[in-house]
Amino acid sequence: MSALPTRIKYFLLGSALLTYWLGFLTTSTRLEKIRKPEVSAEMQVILPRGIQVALAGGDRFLAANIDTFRTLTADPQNQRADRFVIQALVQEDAAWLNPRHEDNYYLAAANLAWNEQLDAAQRILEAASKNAPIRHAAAVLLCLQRILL
Amino acid sequence: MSVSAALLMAASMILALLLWLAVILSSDLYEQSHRGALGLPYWATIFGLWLNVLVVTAFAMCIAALSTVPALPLALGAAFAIACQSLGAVVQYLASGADGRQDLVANYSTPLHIAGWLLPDLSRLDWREWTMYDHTPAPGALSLSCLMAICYIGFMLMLAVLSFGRRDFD
Repeated sequence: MSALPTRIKYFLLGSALLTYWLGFLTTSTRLEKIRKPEVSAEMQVILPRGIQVALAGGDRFLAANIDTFRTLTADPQNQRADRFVIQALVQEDAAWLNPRHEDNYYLAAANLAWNEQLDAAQRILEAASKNAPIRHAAAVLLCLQRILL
Repeated sequence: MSVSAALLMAASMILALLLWLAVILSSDLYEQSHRGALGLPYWATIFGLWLNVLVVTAFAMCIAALSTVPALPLALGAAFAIACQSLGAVVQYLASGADGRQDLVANYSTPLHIAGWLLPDLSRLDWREWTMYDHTPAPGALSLSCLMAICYIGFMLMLAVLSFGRRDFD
C-alpha cells in the first residue's frame, strides 16, 4: 500500500468506503421491510415462591396481591392456551401465599375453570373454602363447580 | 480490530457458557411455558450479540482515530450503542402509526429516516426472542442482519483508516 501514490491510495480507500456504505444502505432498507415479530412477555414466566416473597419485601400477602394483579391486568385478547397454564400456576401461587384471597379465587373460578385448568381452579377454591363457613363464597363456587363440571 | 474481535468472542463465549450452565441448573426451579431453547437458537443469539458488540467496537475505533481525548470513544460508543439499539423500536412505533399521534409521525419520520442512513439498527441483531419465546426470525432476516453488520463494520473501519491517515500529529 505504501508504494502506491497517495492519491490512488485515497481513491481506493474512498471507493471501499462507498461500497461498504452502499452495502449497508441496501441491506438496512431491505431489512426495514421485514417486520420483527411482536413479542408479548405476558404470562410467560413465573418466579419461585420464595423469590416472590423476597421481592415483596418478605410480605406474603403482598406477594399474593402482586400475583393477583398480574392475573387481573393480563391482556384479555391474549387467549393462547399456554397462557392459561402459566396463569393457573400464578394463581395457585397466590392461593398458597394467601388462600383466602377473594379476587384470586373469584378469578380462578371465572377464568381458569373454563380454560382447561379446572383442577387448578378447584385446588384454589378448596384452599379458600377450608375452615370457611358453609355459605362462604368459595365453598359455594366449589360445590357448584363439582356439580356442574 | 481482529484482536479485539477475538477477545470479545472469548468474553461472550465465557458469559454464554456461564448463562447456559445457570439455565440448565436452575431449570427445575422455574415454571415457564417455553423452556429456553439451548441449542442452535441460543448460540445464534450469542453470535448476534457478538456482532452487535463488534459494530459498536468498530464505531469506537473510528472515533478513537479522530479524537484527541481518550475518554471520547468510550462515551460516544456508549451513546452510539444506546441510540442504535433503540432506533429500530422507534422506527417500528412510528411505522405502526404511533398510537394515532400524527404529529409524532410527521415530525420524526424524516429525521429518523436520515439517521438510518448513518446508524445501523442494532435491534436487528437481537434474536433473543428466538431463544426465549420460540419466535423464529423471518427467513432472510438473519443473513441480511449479519450482512448489514459486516458492511457497517467495514464502513466504520474504512472511515477510521481515512481519518487516521489525515490526522495531524504534532
